Amino acid sequence: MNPLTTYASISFATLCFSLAGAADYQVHKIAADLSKPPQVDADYWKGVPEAEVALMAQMIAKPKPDKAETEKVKVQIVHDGKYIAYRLRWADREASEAGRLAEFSDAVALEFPVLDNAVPPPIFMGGPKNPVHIFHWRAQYQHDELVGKKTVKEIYPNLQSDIYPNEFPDRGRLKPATQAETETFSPAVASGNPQASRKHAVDEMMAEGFGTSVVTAGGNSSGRGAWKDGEWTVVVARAINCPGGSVLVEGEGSSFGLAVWQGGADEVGSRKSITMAWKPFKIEHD
Amino acid sequence: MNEDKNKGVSRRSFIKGMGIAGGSLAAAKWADATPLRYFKPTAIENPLAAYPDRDWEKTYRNIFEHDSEFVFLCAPNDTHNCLLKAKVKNGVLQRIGPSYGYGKAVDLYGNQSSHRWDPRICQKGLALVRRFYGDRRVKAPMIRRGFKEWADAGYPRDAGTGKPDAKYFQRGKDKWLRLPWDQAYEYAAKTMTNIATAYSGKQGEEYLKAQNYDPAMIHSMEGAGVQTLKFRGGMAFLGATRIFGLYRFANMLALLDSKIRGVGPDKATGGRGWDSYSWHTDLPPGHPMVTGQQTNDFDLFTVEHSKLLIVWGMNWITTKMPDSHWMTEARLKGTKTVAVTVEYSATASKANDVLIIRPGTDPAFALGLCQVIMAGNLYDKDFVENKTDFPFLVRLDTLQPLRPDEFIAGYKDPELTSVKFMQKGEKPLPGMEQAAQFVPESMRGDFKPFVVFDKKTKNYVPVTRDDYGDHAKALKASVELKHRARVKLIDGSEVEVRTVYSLTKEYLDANMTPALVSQITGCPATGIIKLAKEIAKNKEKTIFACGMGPNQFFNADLKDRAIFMVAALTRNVGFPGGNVGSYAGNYRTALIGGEPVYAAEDPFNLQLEAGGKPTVKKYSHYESLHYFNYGDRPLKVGDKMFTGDGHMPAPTKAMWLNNSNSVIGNIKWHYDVVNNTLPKLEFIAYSDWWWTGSCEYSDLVFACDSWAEFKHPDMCGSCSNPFLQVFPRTPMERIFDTRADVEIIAGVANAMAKVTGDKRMSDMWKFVLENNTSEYLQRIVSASATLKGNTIGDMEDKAKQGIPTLMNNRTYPRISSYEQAKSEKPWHTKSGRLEFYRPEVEFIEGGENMVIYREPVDSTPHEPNVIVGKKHAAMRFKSPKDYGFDEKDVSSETRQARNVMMSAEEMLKSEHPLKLKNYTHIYHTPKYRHGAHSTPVDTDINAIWFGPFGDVYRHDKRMPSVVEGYVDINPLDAKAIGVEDGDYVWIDADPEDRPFRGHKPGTEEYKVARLMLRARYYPGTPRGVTRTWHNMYGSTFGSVKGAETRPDGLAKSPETNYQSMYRYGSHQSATRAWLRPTQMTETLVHKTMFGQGIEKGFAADIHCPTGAPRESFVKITKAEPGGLGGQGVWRPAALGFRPTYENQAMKEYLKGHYMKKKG
Amino acid sequence: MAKVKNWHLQREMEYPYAESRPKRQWSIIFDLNKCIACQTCSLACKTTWTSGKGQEYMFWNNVETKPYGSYPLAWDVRVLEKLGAQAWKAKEPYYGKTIFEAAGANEVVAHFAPKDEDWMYPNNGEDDCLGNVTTGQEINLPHDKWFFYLPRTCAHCTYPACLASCPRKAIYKREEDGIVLIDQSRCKGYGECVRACPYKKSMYNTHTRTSEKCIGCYPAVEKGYQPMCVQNCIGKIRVMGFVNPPWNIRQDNPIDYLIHNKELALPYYPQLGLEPNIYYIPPIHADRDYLLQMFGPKVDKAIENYKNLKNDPVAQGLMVLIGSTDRIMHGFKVKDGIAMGFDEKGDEIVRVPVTEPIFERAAFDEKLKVSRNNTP
Repeated sequence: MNPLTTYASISFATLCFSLAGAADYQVHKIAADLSKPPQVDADYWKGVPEAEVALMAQMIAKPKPDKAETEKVKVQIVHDGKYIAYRLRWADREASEAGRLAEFSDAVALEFPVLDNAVPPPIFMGGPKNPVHIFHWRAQYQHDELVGKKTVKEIYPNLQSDIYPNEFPDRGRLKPATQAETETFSPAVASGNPQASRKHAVDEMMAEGFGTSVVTAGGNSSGRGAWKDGEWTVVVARAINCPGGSVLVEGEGSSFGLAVWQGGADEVGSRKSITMAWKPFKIEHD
Repeated sequence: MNEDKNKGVSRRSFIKGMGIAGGSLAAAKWADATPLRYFKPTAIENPLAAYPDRDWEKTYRNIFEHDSEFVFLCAPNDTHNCLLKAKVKNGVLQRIGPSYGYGKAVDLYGNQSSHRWDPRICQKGLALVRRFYGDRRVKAPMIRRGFKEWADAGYPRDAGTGKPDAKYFQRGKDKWLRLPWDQAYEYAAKTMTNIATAYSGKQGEEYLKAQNYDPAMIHSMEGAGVQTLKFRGGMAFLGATRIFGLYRFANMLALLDSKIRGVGPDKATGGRGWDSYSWHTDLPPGHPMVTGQQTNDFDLFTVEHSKLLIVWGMNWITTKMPDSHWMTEARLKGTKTVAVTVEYSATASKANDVLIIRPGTDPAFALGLCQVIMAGNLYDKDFVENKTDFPFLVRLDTLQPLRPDEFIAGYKDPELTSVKFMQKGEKPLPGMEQAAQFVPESMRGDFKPFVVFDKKTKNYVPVTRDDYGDHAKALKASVELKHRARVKLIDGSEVEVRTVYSLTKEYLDANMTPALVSQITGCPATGIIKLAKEIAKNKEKTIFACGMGPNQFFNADLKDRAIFMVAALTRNVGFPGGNVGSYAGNYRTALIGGEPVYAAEDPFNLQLEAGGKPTVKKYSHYESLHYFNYGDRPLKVGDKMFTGDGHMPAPTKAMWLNNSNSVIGNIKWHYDVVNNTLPKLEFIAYSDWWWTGSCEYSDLVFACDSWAEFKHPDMCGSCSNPFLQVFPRTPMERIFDTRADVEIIAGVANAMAKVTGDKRMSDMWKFVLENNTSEYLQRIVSASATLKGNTIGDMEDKAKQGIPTLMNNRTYPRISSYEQAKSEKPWHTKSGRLEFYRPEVEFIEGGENMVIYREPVDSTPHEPNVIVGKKHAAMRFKSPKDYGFDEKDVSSETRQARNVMMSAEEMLKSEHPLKLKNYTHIYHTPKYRHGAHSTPVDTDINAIWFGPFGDVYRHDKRMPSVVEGYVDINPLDAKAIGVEDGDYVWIDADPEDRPFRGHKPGTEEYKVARLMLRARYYPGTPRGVTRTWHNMYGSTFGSVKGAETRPDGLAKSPETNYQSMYRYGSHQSATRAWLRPTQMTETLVHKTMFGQGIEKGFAADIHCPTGAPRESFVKITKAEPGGLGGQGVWRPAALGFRPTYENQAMKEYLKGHYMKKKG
Repeated sequence: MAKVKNWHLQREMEYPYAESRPKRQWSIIFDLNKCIACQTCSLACKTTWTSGKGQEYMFWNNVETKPYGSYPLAWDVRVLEKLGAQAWKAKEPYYGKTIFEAAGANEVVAHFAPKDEDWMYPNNGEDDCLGNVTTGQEINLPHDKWFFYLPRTCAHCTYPACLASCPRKAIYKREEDGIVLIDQSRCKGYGECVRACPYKKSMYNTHTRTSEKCIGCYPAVEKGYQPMCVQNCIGKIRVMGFVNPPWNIRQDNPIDYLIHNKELALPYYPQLGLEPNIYYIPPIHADRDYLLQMFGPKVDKAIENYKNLKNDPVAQGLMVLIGSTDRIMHGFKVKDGIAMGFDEKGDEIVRVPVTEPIFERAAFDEKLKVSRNNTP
């Protein structure tokens, strides 16, 4: 029996309870096209009420962070009828984009219920047969989308490698190698692990508890982040209606959870700061 | 969602399943051939017990599976030669592995090697896959622009000197152009013809005089310009046709000479061939001085039969890697292993006892063992009396052996049966049928009888060469070993005579006692005494495996003579478990004794019928490459010429080498050769498949097939294992525009046939041009004793399955002196015995008629090259005064011929002349595990292991490559000169001549040549002794340009891609060429290269200079901090994980304190 | 936490998952008295598995010089430091802490996380000895100046720390041969296994952004062949087979014979608690306190046993069989100076003499008319 999952189920009850007292965040409609990748400082954010969400160090599943690197996130939410966008700000000493060995990326994730917006699953990444839909933005993924996936040569500019399998400085009389022949030698690529391919800024995932998360094809979201003066501002926009995933409805409410990773503090995976309770919100018609 | 439906589905189908909103953000925005796999969330209970979806495991199986495989032979500059299996996938050689066929080799009689020989391969062979496709491949024939302009201008020369304008010869700094093959051949043919013509006859002589060559050199040419053309098949034993092809070419040039000078076959001479084994300082020069043969050795697996193994100056573990298991397995089965070494080496870590001595003092160490054995009467009476010259009497007036006819009236030297005297014109049997030894009648005088004293009968007993080994017992003489007396000669005069034993013992007792030897070598006396006694206890069971280490010192021949003395005294020469071997490089072409039918086929009388019998006639001359290395000069000191006529080199105007990075690229005194000698040459051609430092300085580079691409078979052998190995033709397509080495030689000859109109030059290569090189190989096989009875076809077919062929020597394993130990045959010496006294004039004048000790010629804190000894009746050498130079003159040039004697005590008090100028360290450059010579050290995944500074990501841009050269220095010494672990330092040897004669600080030449490298704290080397491994690629003008101009800082030539492993200079910045008088005699008697003939004087690879590449005394100064980007201390040291920098945790760890043994 | 049996420690210990031993367990034995640090194993592995992008620095198999060598930098010093000084009395269970038991409240194992720069210099410390050779020396056994070579692969542990620490449970142990794999299709490259493995045999790939490790050459093993690092070992120091726990020994199994019957081979750093499945025949010349820290209190006995091999023709036979075949030896036999190895079905796959014989040929072959000289 694995300790990681037991914790998750135990905590279920407490979570539903913690939800009860919360006050809904009113998400107002704006006149903007949120289907396009958003800008972090667009005018429409001006005057949008800002809620402060408290985070704590993830303490359910090992390995855990020793402290909450990120104690609070300032949240603004708007929608355009088709998309709902979250503007998230938090303090971070340095921007971390990952690349070299043992370097990790800054990141933020939003999670939503899938089966029932009124009675969400355990906030710790859902529970068995009760999935959550996650929108995971990473500085590293944003670089993928905007610039491309970093090559090893970009990560280590002085790298000297004589050859790679099927990739030679001069093929001479050899016939060109197919991409498949070459990718054979990167098993994660060959086995189609999304992690090994160029990403969009936002990774969409489904999860039914710790250690179960999987990347989905996505296509429902976009995101942009910028780091300035010790603070990250990240906007994640997602389709209000993600069939097969989180389906929100104008005029109705749901709730979200947040997780933040500070790569500079070696945070990755379960080493993160998270909301301990669902944050309810309502999508207003206007 | 239904589990199996959504297991590993592709992006497209998942999207259908899930439906998609916001089409504008469709996932498949950028093309991606790999279908991404998505799962439904998976909960896994216990991954220790079970895992749901393992379908992905096929990805690694896909990497592992290959479409086809083939075998090729990897034979770099080592002695192993491994048939390797190449795995091909998608038409590309993906990886390499062992053949596991070595346990299937059989000889003509059905004897078979066992699978204990498998696997045979090494990391360098595995790395080849990255070389075949690498960017330093020579991809097509390349010509240097300036040279092409000279040729195209019609080879203009200065009217007075005959020299071309220097503007055409900016080697190393010039541009390179690709050539079609036919043009490359034509340039080579025309150029060699032009040079040979220019330097022939009177005109040529005038030119060479004007160019200030030594008259003796000019004289040695016999007026034939072709003799200024030098050829070298590098490590020729590694290619019976393709590498020896260059010597066949040199022989062919007799046709060119005959055309140029209009002479017939009687007067025509060929080009000159350079030596191989002696050039590499691999020849143990003292072996012929004791045994008369090139080298005494044994297949390494013989060690299984010994009880005591002494690995002496040989880093077996790192330089004989595939044969290391024979040593470690012998040890686990009970053989005691002892390492005699100059540091705590890899091999020391496999030894029971380790004796660490000062570099270059090996002769003293061996003589110390002899002293203990003689003084304690621990020697083997029978062996010493019957198989050595110890009992022979020497006249103290002449220092010559006492001869019977000098004191027995009417004594006539009896006819000898142990050696046949050949009358003029008398032909010896074909080499492979030769069982008996023979010499020309003219040498009869060298085989006079000796005299021993019979202590029972009190008679002086003549001993002839026929009385060798057990045959001597027929004399029934009870030999007086220590005899000294006065003998009345026929002429009435009386002379003092003493035995070789007595003379030697006096020298040893006076100078080489354990106490003195301990002071000279640094090894405690207890170690010397203990080892001597153990050897004496293990008669016929002590193996001396000697290596390149002591061989690379100026006193190398004394080391050989002294080690043989230990072995002979203790009955350890010629037995399976008791013998002496020297292991450096690969050699002994005589194992393929039929080679001359190819290498020396008579070009005037060619055999053009397949299966026909070729005639052998040698028109080419050989000479030692060390003279070229020395500045194309012989050794002349004061008013004395020390280079014998038979050794005399010709001026070098053109050279063509293959498989030879040891010349130019990694040559001793590299920067002197580049800056002072190469400018005298008018043509330098290299054949290679990898762009080496040698190619950097060439005019024309021929692009060869790599081993994996061979389209012409070839064969080779080894001096350390019993296998004949065939290079099989492979199915792999040529990757680039390359040709087989032998095809290239044939191509040039063919072009020369057109230039000269002499068709014989292309006929000479008929079977190569007809793509039937096997015909030549079969001729060699059929003429070789070890191979006759095999067909090249069968051997190649076996090779294609990864199976070699066993050579048919007398024994498996091959054991030198085996027949002599059994008294079946005499040694190839004057006496037929092992000789420890050399009466020839050169030895007497050099103070080395007895086996004595000389200090190293440069690698010593004391006065270099002094003879260590007290006054001795048999030591009557010539002094500097006799040679016309100042006693006080210890400059490198005169030092070589400087005979000055000091007692051990005086010598130890004396100082190296440079000590006053802050020169502090012996600097030596041995070979290591990460390269076979210099192959393939620059290949990334191999290089990264070469020492402590490997980093493929090159975090520190200063690194010349993924790794870099370094000097190992004792931490205490480094601290004393303010050098931190990992710092960059400058290393300077004698400023008089290094890095090159006439260097000027501030010039580009000096910048490229001055050695800068990392210092590594190395607790295993004694104080005062530093070391840099020999194998790395050095700096060239191109690599320095790369390091200084490339954004990534790589020391890689922007013009040629040549990759250096030093930012500046190389380990060869500190070495130089050395010529040793006793290696240039006209008188030493020894076996011929092939067969059982005996000759005297010069013989390439047997009796000629061997150099002293481990001799230099240096100054070390800090250049840059070792920390990343030049900031602070090198990281591993700064963090406390390096010797003398240990942090608290490291200290605890080293003591084993993290686990206590309770109770 | 579950309680599991660890026979290296002769006690039960804590582990996140319940004990579950595979049908058979992949295992390699290394004779450190024979290792020559040629790195042929490292390159055999590299050229087969890690020559791709992002793997440039990766050596699933490496050989390092002990005590100063390490890859990554000082991996064992730093792990032992985290674990703290422990004690182990000979012939007794290990009562000290394992890295699972010493883990802080937030961690699965006590560990150190290597930095990018720690992976530089894979051969740092090569041939550096402990103790300063200041001048000429006479050194006898055991050497007072010493180093030895330590070749390392993944130990495909019975209780892997990588597996225990993977938050995604993307690392598993194969039931058929005990090989531990990182699922390359599910790994998200959190690097928890890189942090957790005390032997530092999980490595991050910057190109695929997943972690990778030695796969025990399962594609070869599945076909009855030994891993590449073993097939290519010219020091002939390695043999791969299947190890049984002490309660399930097979006498003619080469692995069981050397570990259990002869007590020659020992696990390295068993105190960490992973029950690693690579075993070492300790070097007879190195410092005993250091060796005890690395191999536990049985090390003295193992060295005595090695020194006694000279009187043991059977063990000698097995020792020279090692490396003489590329197939997996499931059984062996030594008779009259001949050693034989057998496959799973009991068919002979190799036979070698304990001492390579000497053949003498006639001095003159009348038929061929050739003379046979050892000095040709």
